[in-house]
Amino acid sequence: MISLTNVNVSIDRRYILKNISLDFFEREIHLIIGPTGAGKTTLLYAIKGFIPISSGNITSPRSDIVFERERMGLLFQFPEDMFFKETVYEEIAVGPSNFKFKNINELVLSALKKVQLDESYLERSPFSLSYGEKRRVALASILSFQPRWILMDEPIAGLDWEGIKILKDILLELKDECGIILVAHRYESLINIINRITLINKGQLIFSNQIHSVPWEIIDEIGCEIPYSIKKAMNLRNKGLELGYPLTIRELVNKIITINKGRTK
Amino acid sequence: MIELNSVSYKIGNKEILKSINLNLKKDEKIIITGPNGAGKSTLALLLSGIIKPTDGNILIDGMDIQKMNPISLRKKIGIIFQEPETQFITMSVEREVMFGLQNLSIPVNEIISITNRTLAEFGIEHLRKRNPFDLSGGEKQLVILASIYAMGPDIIIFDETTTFLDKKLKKKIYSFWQKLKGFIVITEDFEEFPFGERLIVLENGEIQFNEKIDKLMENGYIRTSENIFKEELRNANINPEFYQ
Repeated sequence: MISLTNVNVSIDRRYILKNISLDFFEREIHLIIGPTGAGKTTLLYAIKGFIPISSGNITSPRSDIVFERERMGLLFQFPEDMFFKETVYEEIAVGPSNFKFKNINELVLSALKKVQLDESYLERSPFSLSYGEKRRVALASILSFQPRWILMDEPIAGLDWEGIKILKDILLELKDECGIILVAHRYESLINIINRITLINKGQLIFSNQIHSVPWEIIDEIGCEIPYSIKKAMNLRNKGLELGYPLTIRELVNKIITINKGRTK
Repeated sequence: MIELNSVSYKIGNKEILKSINLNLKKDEKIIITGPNGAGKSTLALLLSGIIKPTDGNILIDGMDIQKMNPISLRKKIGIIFQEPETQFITMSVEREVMFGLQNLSIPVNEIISITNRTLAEFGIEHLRKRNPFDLSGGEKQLVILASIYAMGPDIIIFDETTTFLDKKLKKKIYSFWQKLKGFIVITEDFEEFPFGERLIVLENGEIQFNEKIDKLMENGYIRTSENIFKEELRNANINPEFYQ
């Protein structure tokens, strides 16, 4: 677990994060959302320790935060920013060689396999890859040092449907091994694998809830996107039809089908 | 009018675009889509004259864009990329907007009034003295949009511009699209297709599809959430009209 207690971050006397208290758990996919400029990326960097916090605490109650941070892989918004090696192999090998792991070759191959790329990529230049492939190589370069935490800034932006599907598979598999923290504003396509949503606005924590107790109206009011099915259910509620908060279109349609069956009986 | 005549683009032996023929009208709202790696962004770079076709040519109003000087080209066509940082040149938001105008050799008093008007129109007056590199992702995108728009190009290309924007900023961009007479929007987001009039699908460097959008919307070809919802209800023999 990673715990933030009354965390403040200010730059040039401007508050970027105000009094944030929040927990992150292993074996969970935790989504952070908020309008542009809310402080999402700053929060991610503060967790990783990339930027100093002005006051408050970031701790790991049953472990040591320094240790946890070492084993934290952060994937930036633009993966090509991270590349500096000549081949995909070298890029993925950076992490395990920094940790002085002995089985580097094995770790590189297993990371590449996890992101569903074949071995023909190993000798290619990371800069010659397509956007989606770059993302996967960037992720592999984190997975290769066997992180305990994976932090990702806007991982789905710019991916096509196939790319999103692959990412979802990867995240679901990784969830068993580590804690995953995502920052995203277009998250609809990931909604059915997310365990917890945190909303921040203007540097402040609005809520941090498990997926089935998320106050969707608040997200909507603040001006963040909500899944189509939930928006639709809200509109239908205004017309007197109670459908709850279905996370997917499938779930919404199934609820409507159930209601219709009830009527025909 | 932009004409592409057998335009190809190769990197080494790899053909990114394969002999594309296309006519794009300035007053038409064009959506270009396709999977990652289809050649969409390469097409955008070619259209804006930033890279040169390996074969074929691109004409804007009958002139070959490779032969136009950069300033007259910028008056014809502006481009906004997915990553706004790559486009910043100056250290303040207002200078960023002024920069393009200065290159067009517009008188100073006019530059100031155009800048003020544009900042107001995009709701970023409060940011005018800030360093563009310090802004949030969405704000950066608005600054780039304002600085391109201020130059008054005939057509603006939006290359996956909304990818990193939140709902409010997206709405701003969408209402801006609605105001424009024509545009070229490159997107993979189905929900953005209805803003266009013509849909062009690129795949493996070739045009797979080039059709009017209203027809496609009607027959449910475009898989927006709304269309998927309706289709699933119809499959269950439920009239979607009851759930509008």
